[in-house]
Amino acid sequence: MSDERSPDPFASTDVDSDSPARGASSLRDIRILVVEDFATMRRVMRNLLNDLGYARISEADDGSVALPMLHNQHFDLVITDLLMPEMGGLELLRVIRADSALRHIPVMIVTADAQREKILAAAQAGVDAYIVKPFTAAMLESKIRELFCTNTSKI
Amino acid sequence: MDANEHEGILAIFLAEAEDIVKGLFAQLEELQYGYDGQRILDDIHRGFHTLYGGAAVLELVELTECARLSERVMDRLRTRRIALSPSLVSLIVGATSAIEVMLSRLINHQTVNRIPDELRGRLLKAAGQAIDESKAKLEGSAPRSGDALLDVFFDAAAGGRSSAVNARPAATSGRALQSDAKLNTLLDSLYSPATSVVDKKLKSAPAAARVSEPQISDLVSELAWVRNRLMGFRAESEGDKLNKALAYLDLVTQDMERWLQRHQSGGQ
Repeated sequence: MSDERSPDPFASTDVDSDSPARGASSLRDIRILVVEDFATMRRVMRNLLNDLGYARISEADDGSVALPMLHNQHFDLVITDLLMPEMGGLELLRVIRADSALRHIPVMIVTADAQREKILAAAQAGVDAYIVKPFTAAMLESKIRELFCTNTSKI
Repeated sequence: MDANEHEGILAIFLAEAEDIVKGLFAQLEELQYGYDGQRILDDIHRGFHTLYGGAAVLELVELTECARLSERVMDRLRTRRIALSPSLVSLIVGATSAIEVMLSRLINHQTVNRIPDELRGRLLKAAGQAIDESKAKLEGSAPRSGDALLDVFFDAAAGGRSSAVNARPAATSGRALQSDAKLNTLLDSLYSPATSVVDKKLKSAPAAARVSEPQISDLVSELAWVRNRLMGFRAESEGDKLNKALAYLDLVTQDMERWLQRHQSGGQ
């Protein structure tokens, strides 16, 4: 389901003093994989990210589709839903963290599930950020900046 | 998201949501026949969860409420905190029908009404969220989950809830949580302030007016619904379906009998 668009022209000329991810000339150049089974939410996420200036976005409709994409392409960030049919977000997170080739990739969970045990399970599995739907573009931007601008180990 | 974008995404959502509802009805039919395998319970829960998440993002308040309550009921059911019963299946079918009506009205650009109080009360009860009106007003019009602590944490972090479905900031970053000490720090930050806010709210709220037990009229409505299904199957002349429907009728009747016995022994 990868359908990465051409990078937005302004992204490459964006003068961003923030630390970019590995291989990205600016924060706006990071490659993001959105994993979500609900097409509506994939569209919402893509539009929000585009509005924020992120243009290098690919999509997968569940964890089992995302994993080969992660192995075959370079991504700087995974944004995933929790509940999906074949492989859910938590399982995907655990697989990523257990894989030496992938474990450095920051993972953000975006879900309608605000249950304590789910957040704890995600935190224990090594999630980098957890956003509860509904959310705004500002929340998303804030979390992405937090991930890439405050932790140099990801760069 | 501008108005055109919103309209486009809404159209996609409505089409997807209609498909989900169709799937839910098919899955609920299996529940009606007494099959409650984990897979189907998980699938039904995920259907409501998806509807809830999409509706919340698109700020469809009435749909958000109904889908969220249904999702909470299904979560309790799939984790075996409550048992499957004919009246519960009937309740979930009723909630799904209400969602179907809401979607139909949205498609036709009509005003969407809030779910009826009676259905809302039964969903709240099944979701383990019997709350009084004053607390509901205090916390906004959306139903609160069983994990109110987290919700209140979000409110506190945002400096107050601006609406029923908005202004819930991201919960936390977790990369820094991989040691036990850091995890404990996270938990402290998540729950300590929340607990105090909850306590404060509960202390300021009047005594709870609990949602009442199911009324006999609800059960009779349920019985009538089963009867109507039977009438439909009779026209199809399919013995197997008729037998299953009759078995369900038997379960509902037994449920009614137990309910009556409980209330009679309680001095009613």
